[in-house]
Amino acid sequence: MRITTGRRAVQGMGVVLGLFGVTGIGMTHILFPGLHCYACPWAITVCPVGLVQNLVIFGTVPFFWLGAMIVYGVVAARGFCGWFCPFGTLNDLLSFRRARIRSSLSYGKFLILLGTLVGAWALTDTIFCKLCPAASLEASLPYLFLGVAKVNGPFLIHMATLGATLLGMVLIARFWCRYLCPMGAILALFNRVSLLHLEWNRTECTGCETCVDACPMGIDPRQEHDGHNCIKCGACTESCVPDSLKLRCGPRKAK
Amino acid sequence: MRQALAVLLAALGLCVFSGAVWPQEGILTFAVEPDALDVSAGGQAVARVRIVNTTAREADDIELVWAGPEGFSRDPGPASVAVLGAFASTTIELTVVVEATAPQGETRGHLEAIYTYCIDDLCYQIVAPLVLTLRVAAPTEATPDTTSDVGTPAKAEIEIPGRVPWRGVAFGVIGLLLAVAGLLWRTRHRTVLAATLVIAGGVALGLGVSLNQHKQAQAVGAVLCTSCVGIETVQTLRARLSPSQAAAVEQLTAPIELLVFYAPWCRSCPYAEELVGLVAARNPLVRYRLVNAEAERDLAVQHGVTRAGRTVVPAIVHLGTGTVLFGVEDLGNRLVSLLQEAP
Repeated sequence: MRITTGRRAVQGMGVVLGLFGVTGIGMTHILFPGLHCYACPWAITVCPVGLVQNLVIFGTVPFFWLGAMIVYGVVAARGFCGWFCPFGTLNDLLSFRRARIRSSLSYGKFLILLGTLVGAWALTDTIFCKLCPAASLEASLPYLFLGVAKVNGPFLIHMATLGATLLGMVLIARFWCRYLCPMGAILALFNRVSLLHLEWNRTECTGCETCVDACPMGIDPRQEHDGHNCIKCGACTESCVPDSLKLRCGPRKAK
Repeated sequence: MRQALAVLLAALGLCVFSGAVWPQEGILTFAVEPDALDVSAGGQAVARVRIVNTTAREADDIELVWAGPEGFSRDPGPASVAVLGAFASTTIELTVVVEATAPQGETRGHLEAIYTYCIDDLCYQIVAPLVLTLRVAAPTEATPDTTSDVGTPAKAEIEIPGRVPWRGVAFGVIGLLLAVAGLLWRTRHRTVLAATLVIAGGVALGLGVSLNQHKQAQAVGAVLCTSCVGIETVQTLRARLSPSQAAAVEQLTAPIELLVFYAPWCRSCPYAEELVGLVAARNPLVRYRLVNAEAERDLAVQHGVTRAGRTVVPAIVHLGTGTVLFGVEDLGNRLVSLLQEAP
């Protein structure tokens, strides 16, 4: 089975879990390993970014959140972005252009994460949620049709951020995941230790760089597969003719 | 490698220590106006204690108790506030009675502010000491003072000994973890570090569950306030009825029962509660009950406040028609329209 086929199936499971509330199951204690708004009428999981803002506001030292993030980080880290996150899946489906712009801009997601935490602390408000394009898509729009939300200032701000993000996704593959996602920033901290990882065999590599062209995140997978931008989607491994890049799940070999 | 493990273990130790050993921090701040009271021996003076809830938690049973010294007392006894909602504030007037035998000169009076608050099933009682400066003069023949006259009152933030800077602790832990992440970036023995992280994550999860943080996470996701998720802007102003709205309420002739669903941490909910209170005060035919949506979820489901598994607050339910109003935007007009609906 090709990696892409398997990945689409797992991404489908991510969407199903994200919308599992249609079955009537209510909110659970599970933190979603991706960016998926808990305000979505059909969500049964808690968005880690939304939760951590609330915990900062409540004054709770977030042990449960921290533990969940470490576990997710060690299991797959940004692999969840490439394989599971519904908003990442939307990015994926709109990835028409493998554009490359300055890679240093990808540190923007860490600034967004920092701003999210400082904003919650300083303003005692979930500022990021009011701008989050995932919340726009998964909460604002459904609540408009459910008669809870109205077309007002906050709704229009949501639509503006969603529109800008969708435009960015169309123009630059994985735009949100690359530059802006605070959830991706959290998971990226664990990219070098995760069980799901890429291996590159230098001796088998012919240097054809088809993997560089295939990467939706605009990185060189040979050099940056443990960096904060690799979402372990496996696109590079499929494109690699000599099979020098492999997607593995398990303990890493010491280099 | 050893450095990374040492820093990781230190971070973990700090997490465990701060959560399990450190006392719970208070959620209220207190300020006394004026910061010094001039009073005659045998007289009395009034101070105002401003209490501000700086968090999204509800503080209950706030009581100010005189703790000394001898020769002074509070009149007419402990002052109390039953509930102080999230981000709310209030002022308690405090009459200090000075006995004729009280020592003259400057004296430090001690008060204790005692209150409780809960995080899910865990409740904490906080005792915050307050200090009040009293300048006692010789007895006079005049009628005892009822108010202190010391010019413009100066707000004084009361020093609370032993206050724990939880935010500093939390950010310190985050800083340490980021430092660990930085070290992870360089090390070669990643499997060992991954195993260490799994242990750290497991301990943190266990500690979080023991502190009921998983239930807190569920509650955050299950009950939504309209301003928290950007459905509308937060409304923290005092509620008021316009003359036309007040007239419309007064003209109601049939009894109406309302349920007002709120959550303790919802910042817009006090506005909705106050507005319904104003309506009920205008027309005794309108009766209402406040319902904590977190505590009475079945009632929320029964009345349509919970939709597709998600409870949205503030919400006002007309029990006669079953109509539900969500949020606070243009609530005055919407509430009047709701009241005018025929059952």
